[in-house]
Amino acid sequence: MSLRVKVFLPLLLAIVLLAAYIYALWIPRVLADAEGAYRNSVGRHLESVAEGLVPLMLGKQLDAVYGNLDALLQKNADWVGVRLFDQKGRLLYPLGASGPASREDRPGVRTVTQEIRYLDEKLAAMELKVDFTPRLNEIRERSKALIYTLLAVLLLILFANGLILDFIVRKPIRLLADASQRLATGDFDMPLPKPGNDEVGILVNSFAGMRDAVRSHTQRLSEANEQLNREIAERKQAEEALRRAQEDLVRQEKLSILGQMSGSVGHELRNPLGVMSNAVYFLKAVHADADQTTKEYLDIIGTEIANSQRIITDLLDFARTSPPRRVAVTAGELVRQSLKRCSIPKNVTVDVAVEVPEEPSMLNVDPLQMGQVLTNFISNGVQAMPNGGSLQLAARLVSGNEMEISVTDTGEGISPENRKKLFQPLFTTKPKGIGLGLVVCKNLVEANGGRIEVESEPGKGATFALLLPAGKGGC
Amino acid sequence: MKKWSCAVLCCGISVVLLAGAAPSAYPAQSYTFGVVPQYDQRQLHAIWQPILGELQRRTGISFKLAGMPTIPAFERELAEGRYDFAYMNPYHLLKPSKSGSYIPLVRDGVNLRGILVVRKESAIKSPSELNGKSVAFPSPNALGASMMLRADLAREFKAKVAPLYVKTHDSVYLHVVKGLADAGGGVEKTLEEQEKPIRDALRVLYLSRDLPPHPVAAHPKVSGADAEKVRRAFLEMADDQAGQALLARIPMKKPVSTSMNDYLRIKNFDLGAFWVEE
Repeated sequence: MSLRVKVFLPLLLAIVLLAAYIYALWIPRVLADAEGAYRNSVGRHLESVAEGLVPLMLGKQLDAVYGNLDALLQKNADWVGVRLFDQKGRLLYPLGASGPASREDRPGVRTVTQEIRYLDEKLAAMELKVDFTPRLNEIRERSKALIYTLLAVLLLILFANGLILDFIVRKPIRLLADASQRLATGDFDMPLPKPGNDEVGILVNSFAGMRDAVRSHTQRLSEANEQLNREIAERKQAEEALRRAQEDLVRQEKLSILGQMSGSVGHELRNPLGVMSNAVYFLKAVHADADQTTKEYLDIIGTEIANSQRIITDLLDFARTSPPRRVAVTAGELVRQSLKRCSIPKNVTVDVAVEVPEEPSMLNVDPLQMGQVLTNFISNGVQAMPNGGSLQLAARLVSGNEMEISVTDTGEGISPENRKKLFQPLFTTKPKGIGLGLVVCKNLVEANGGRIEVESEPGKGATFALLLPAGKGGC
Repeated sequence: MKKWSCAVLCCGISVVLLAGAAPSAYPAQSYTFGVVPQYDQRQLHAIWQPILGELQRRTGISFKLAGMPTIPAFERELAEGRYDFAYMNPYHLLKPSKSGSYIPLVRDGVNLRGILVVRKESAIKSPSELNGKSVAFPSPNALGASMMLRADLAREFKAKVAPLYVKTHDSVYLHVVKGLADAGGGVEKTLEEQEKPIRDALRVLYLSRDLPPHPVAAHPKVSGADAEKVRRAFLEMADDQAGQALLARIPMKKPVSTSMNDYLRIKNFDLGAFWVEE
């Protein structure tokens, strides 16, 4: 139920009750009072008439009595009949038995009697029939007009009050309600109604105060929250750093152990493998006419020994990274030397493209170590394209003191998960790898003052880029 | 200069002529006119005020209708000669007066007759049956309606009645109609003036000898010229319908010139015994 209904329904009911009271009680009372007053007035008039008739009655001037009463009947439109009786009850006036019966029988006709007396003698008695209807109707109509006017004024006031209530109370309250909803969503810049000097104004001012307090509290809470978030972030960063440091420590520990073990194992295995390699060479030489199967098996043994020696080399490289011996070398020379050291399997078709600037750009690196890195990148690229593809080697000057040498293949590419682990020791996707090649490469590049960047899109290939310091310096 | 003189002369002549015409519009002479109160005062004024206005218009003489509440009062005023003109009972002409007898000027051409009336359904068939009954009369000294009838009742019919004086002829007839009197005395003319219900309710029981009707008379102090103007005015009023209508209400349907000779025969009726001093 709206405020308007709550306020005005009782008023409307009061007006209806007032109208009912006026109709049911007030008008009848007014009519009764008016009838009484009119009866008294007629009575007083009749008394004066009786006084006037006394000398005529005493003088037996019946014609004058007739003249007077006729004139009175003519003048007083509501007098519908007068009868005059002498002291013996004989009808003196009017001439006939009575006046017009139809007029005297009306519902509003009342009878007023008056004796005509002189001293103590009753001379005659008058009986007056008065039609109260016009007077009562007039009063009734006047009362109705008054009531209608009163009701119209009350309804007008009610309507005007409705408008005023709308303007003074309902509109500001609606605005406050809207403002509350916007405040609930955190909007503190909502428009508020102009406060007046009334209760609504107090409410508006209170709301504005509450809004400002909420805004202040919210701001403080927000700042505290931000501070807390910052602290949490810092704590997380610290924890992450701690975790990484711990992992690095563990990894370094592991790598240290692994390096020591690799060095020992590599050193111990290198000699037997050299013996076995010599033995294979001897057998091939001694049994040059051996059957094909024996030769194939000797080749397999030779190949596996070579693989094992490479693994041993990786282990040793991993265990003992020797300090780089930097010299000025061109990028083209590095690329070409590396390509020479690589062998592409015969059953795989790989298009190799080299794009090196003609103007020799000098690098200040250890050519052996960087050649080892490039060789590793080329071998990985070729292995990533078992069904063939293209391999592009490019060199370009990135900035004044840095040169990029990239190896791009069109192989399967590297997934994002694997890319994160590329440079972790012992991670490999190759069936015969031990996961130390890229770790060694990273160590070598960093030892030469460079860095490695990897870009790859699964299914479209990968690019391994070496960013190396340019220049002609040396050790 | 001559033109201005002519203009002033013309203006002077116009003023003199207008001054000469003024008396007809603003009569210098004013007379008192008395009327015997046969009816109530309102009715008398209603009848006579227009007649006096017409007389003034015709004669250039101003008239003032005198107040006359009762017949005795009228008679007193008449005896003292207070009225310059008067419409009176014929017997009033014959009454000796210290101020001089009034001179009759005009009267109705039809003589009046006193009448005795009873209610139509009354059992009384002869005036003699009124012996011991109450009889209403306008006043003791009304010639036709009272004196003549009382004289006839007493002398002709030997009927001793209880007179009830009720001031006017109308009142007489109403008393009879309403049963307040067994009979009433009036004159033919006034009965004819009554409303039909009253006339229908009454029966004429007796007609007296005829008498010259009420005259309009002038007091001797009134100049003969003015009296003659009034006489002529009354007679001339009968020549047009408006005047007739006014005179008919007196009633004086046929005004004729009259003189004291017409009224002297009343003395032969020997009505002195029936005159009552009031």
